[in-house]
This record gives sequence, structure tokens and C-alpha cells, in this order.
Amino acid sequence: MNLIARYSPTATKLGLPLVAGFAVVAVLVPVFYGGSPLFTWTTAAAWVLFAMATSVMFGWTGLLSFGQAAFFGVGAYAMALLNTHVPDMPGLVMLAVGAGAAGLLAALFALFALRTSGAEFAILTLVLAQVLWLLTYRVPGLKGEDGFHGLFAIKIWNEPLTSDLELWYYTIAVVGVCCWLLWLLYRSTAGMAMRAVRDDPWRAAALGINVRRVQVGAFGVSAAFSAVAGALVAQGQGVVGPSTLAFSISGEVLVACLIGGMSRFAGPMLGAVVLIWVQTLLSNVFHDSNVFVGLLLLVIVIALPKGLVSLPDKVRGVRRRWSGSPPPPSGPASAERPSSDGPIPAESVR
Amino acid sequence: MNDLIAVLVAGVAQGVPVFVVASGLTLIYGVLHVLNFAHGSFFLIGALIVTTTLQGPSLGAFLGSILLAGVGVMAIGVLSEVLVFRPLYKAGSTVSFLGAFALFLALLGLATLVWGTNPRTVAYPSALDGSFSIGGARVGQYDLALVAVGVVIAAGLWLLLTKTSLGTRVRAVSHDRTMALALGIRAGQVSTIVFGIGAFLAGVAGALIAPVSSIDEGLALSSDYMLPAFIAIIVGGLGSVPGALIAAIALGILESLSFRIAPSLSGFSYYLVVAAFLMFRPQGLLGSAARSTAMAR
Repeated sequence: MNLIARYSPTATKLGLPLVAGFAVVAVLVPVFYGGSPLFTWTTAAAWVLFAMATSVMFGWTGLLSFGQAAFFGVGAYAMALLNTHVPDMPGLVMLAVGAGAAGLLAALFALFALRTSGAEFAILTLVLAQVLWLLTYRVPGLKGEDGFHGLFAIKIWNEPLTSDLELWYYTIAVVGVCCWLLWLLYRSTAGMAMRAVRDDPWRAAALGINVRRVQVGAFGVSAAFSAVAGALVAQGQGVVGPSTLAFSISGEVLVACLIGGMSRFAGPMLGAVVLIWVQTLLSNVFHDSNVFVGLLLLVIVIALPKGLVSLPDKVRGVRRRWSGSPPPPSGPASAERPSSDGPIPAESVR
Repeated sequence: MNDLIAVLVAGVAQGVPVFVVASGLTLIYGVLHVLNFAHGSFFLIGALIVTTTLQGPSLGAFLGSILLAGVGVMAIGVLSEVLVFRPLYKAGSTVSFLGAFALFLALLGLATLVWGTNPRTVAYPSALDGSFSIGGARVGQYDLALVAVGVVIAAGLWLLLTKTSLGTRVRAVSHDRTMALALGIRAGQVSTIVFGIGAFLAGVAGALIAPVSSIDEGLALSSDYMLPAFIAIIVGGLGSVPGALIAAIALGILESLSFRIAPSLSGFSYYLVVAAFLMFRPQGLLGSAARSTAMAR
């Protein structure tokens, strides 16, 4: 990546290495895998998008959401509802409608929820996901535990997908395009503003960035792409039920982001692939995903709060401790992950 | 008039478990600046302990298992504070929120491993299984007992926080941790104790609702108790125990009223209230304005 960046900055700016990477993966995976491993790869691809979308909010903008399942589920349910009521609509249009609905919902929610500080915001995201989960049981049109079936029949443009291989090409293409769009956003001034808000909301505000607008926008974008990921997973599995809105989903996507680490653009992608594969391979050991996700998240948070990319620093620190030299001074301020939590910047400003 | 009394008692009875959970949450937030999502699991485990330990229908046995639930959950709480939150304390609030969420998922999963996923029920203690009339209104005995328990716990917390040396230390750490440390208060010890108290309260709350609710996984984030508790601490102001009390009871009464007047709205009144508060008073009823410093409105 660095090599390409040195020789052709424009190509990097346009995200050509990213697109090329997706193209290579899209071609290579079916060569080596087929049947159920290919399906796992398809799921992993959708989760790559979900993790990237979450990273827009969490990694880029510093807003921690415990309710990403809400938007994932909105995408899946939008797909299912459209398939039930307007079965002739092309699948790609359904994706766009679902993304738009989730983006609007998220922006509206953020307008309210961002009036509070970090702690209340975290609660409210959890509450939002849980309320939507409850609605699937309360609203008769959403069919409760039964959910929706028959999503295989969705026509992508004119024809429905007929094989696992077609599903793979379709999923990876949509994910690739979405990730490429996110890359363009990442490199744009809007993306830069998001990172400025994450690093220091007060300074960003002083520089003339409309912090709230950036946060609401990031929330909406994140939700829209999460909805696309949810719809892709729903299409792959053919069914949509309340489990797409379960809080373990919100936890899983945070795990994916944290495993990969969010200081690099592609970190969450890596994390999502690792998560889905580990989960699939260990599904015989852990029947209940809550224990697995919870313990994994605990280990990451306690041992490696900054993801796998922080491993070299960690090792260096341990080695220094062993060799007996004094550790570098680290107060709460230096150890702290950049965040937009209200209380801390507020007090340091006063 | 008759209706009003019944609605009020039902509302307060609905609000009491919410207050008991919320007071623990808000105390912990005040002292540790951790939003303890794991409270949902504590609450569930409290209820589950009652399903296992309750022997017979006598009131004494019920009180005994409530106490067991409280102490058991307190042990889990102290362990998790020492093992999970203490190492994270320096890492900042985002990381400890993540830790709390991870703990929530892990404990919830472990609880379902131990107790299974089938819903369980607990019978009312025989002495409280019935209703009587106050001025013509039918009032459930258990509801009235809940109201009494709420009064006892609120009074106990008030005494603990304002009249004891521990309470003074808790308030000092909550107010300004650095200054408290400088004055020789062992903030770490206070944090552990507060976490223990909060977990104890969550366990007791879970035990209290065991007879009135079906006990399964869903209880950990149920729309009847846990979500209202989260909303109560926002509406009451994060870190304020009196705020949590007022908010929990008022929300309980409001929910009970809306169930009587506009049943279609019931279950959603909480969310409407929290939306209104976020619009007009984001710091909550008794929260300090300095806490809530939303950026560049």
C-alpha cells in the first residue's frame, strides 16, 4: 500500500488498490473454496461491510454505539418487507431503500441522542436497538418470532440468484463498491472532519467544524451502510427474524472492529473476516454466542484495547519492563483513547 | 378516585424495582464513571438465584432467598470490579463502557449456561398472594409490599449516603476523585464497595420481581425493568440517586396511567419522556449542567 502510495498518489486517492484487492479476493476465494466454506466467506464479506460501517462511527468519529444491530436489522427487515409487498422491485433498489430508511432513522435518533454526553449516548443506542427488537414482536406486520422467509426469490436486477457462487459474486461486488465509497469518504474533507472531531471535539469546533453536523452525518452514513450489510446477510440466509436485531450482533461488530484495530482503514475488514471464521470454526464448542462474544470482547478490551495493531507497542513495553528500565510516564490522559465523551474535554477546557 | 389509587399503587410498584436497579447504576456511574451495562445480567442472575434457592411458600423463605440473591450478585459484582474494571480504569471511559458491555454479554451467556433458556416462574409468597381494598380500590398485596420495600431501600440509601462516614467518602469521590485522593480517601476501596452495593441492589431488584415476571434471558434487557432503569438514570440525571428515585417512580406512574387511559401508548411512554427530556433538559432532572456538555449545539 505504501509502495503504491509513493509511486502513484492519485491511484491511492481514488482507492484503486482497494478495488483491486476486492477484485482479487472475489476471483480467488471461489477457486479455493466451495460449498459451505464459500458461504462462510459470503457471510464474512457482508460482515466486512458491517464492520467498516461501524468504524465510520466508532473508529473515525469516536462515537461508541452499542446498538449497531438496530441498523443492521432495519436493513434486513426493509428487504423482507419490500420483498413481501412489492416483490417485483429489483434487489439493488431494495438495498438502497433500506439504506436510506436506516440512515434517516439514525440521523433523527442522533439529533436527539447527541444532546447528551458519551455515557447517555451509549445507553440510548442500546435502548434504540432493544426497542426495535421489541417492535418486531409488538407490530403484527413484522411477524414476531416467525419472521420472513423466501428472500432467495429476490431478483437482483431481472433474475434471482440461483447458486452459492452467484451469491458470492453479488455480495462481494456490493461490499466492494460500498467499501470503495467509504474510502472516498475517508479521504474527503468530511472524513478528515470526522477524525478531527474524534481527536478533539473542542479544537475541531474552534477550527470551524460543525461538530454536531459531522457527528449526525457520520451516524447516518454508518447506519446506511450497516443496513446494506444487514440486507446482504438476510439475502444470503433467506430468512429475517428478530435475531438480526439481537444485542449480541451489536457486540459482535464491536469485536470485529476491535480485533482488527481501527487506526488503519482496513483494520475492521480484517477483524470481520477473523471473527466470522473463528465463530464458524468454534460453533461446535460455543453454542451460545453471548458467552463467546462477551469473553472475546473482555479479553480484547483488557489485554489489547487498541486492537491487533497495538501488539508491537505492547510487546515492546513488556520487554522494557523485563529489562528493568522505568516505564514511560502514562497518566490517564496519555493512555486514553480519543473520544468525544463530554465530561473529560469539558473539564480540561475549564 | 378508586381508579386513581389503584393506578398510583400499581405505578409505584412498577417503579420500585426500576428505582432499585437505577440507584445502583447511577451510584456506580457517579463514583467510577462506568456505565455498568452488566447490571442487566446482575438483575437476571438475582431473579434466577431466587428460582433455585426458594424453598416453600412462606414469607421467611422468600426474604431469605432475596437476601441470598443480593449477596450472591454482590459477590459477582465485587469480583467483576476487581478483575475487569480496575484494570480498565486508566484507559478512559470508552474502554470501560466496552468492558461493561463485554461483561454483560459474558455473564448473560454464563447465566443461560447454568440455568438454561427455559422461562421459569416463582409463586408469590403465600402471605402476600392476594389483594384487598383501600377506599374501594383493589390493590394487590405484593404491589403494596413492593411500595414498602421501595421506601425502606430509599431511606436506607439516604441514610447510608448522608449519615455515615462511608457515604461521605462515596460522595467525595463522586464529586472530585482527584481531590478525594489528595485528602487521603482510598478511592479504589470506595469504588469496590460502591460496585458491591450497586450489584447487591440489582440482585435484590431481580429477586423482588421474580414472582411477578417470567424469568428468562429476556429479563436482562427487558422493556419492563432494565430499559426503564436506563431511561430513569438519564431522566433523573446521571449520578444522582434522588433523581433516579423521582424519575423511576414518576415513570412507573406515567406508564400505569397511560396503560389505563391510552393502552396503545403503553410501553412507549418511557421513550417519549426521554425524547422530551433530551430536547429540553439533556442533563436530566437533577443532573448538573457541567456534566452534560454536548458539543457545539
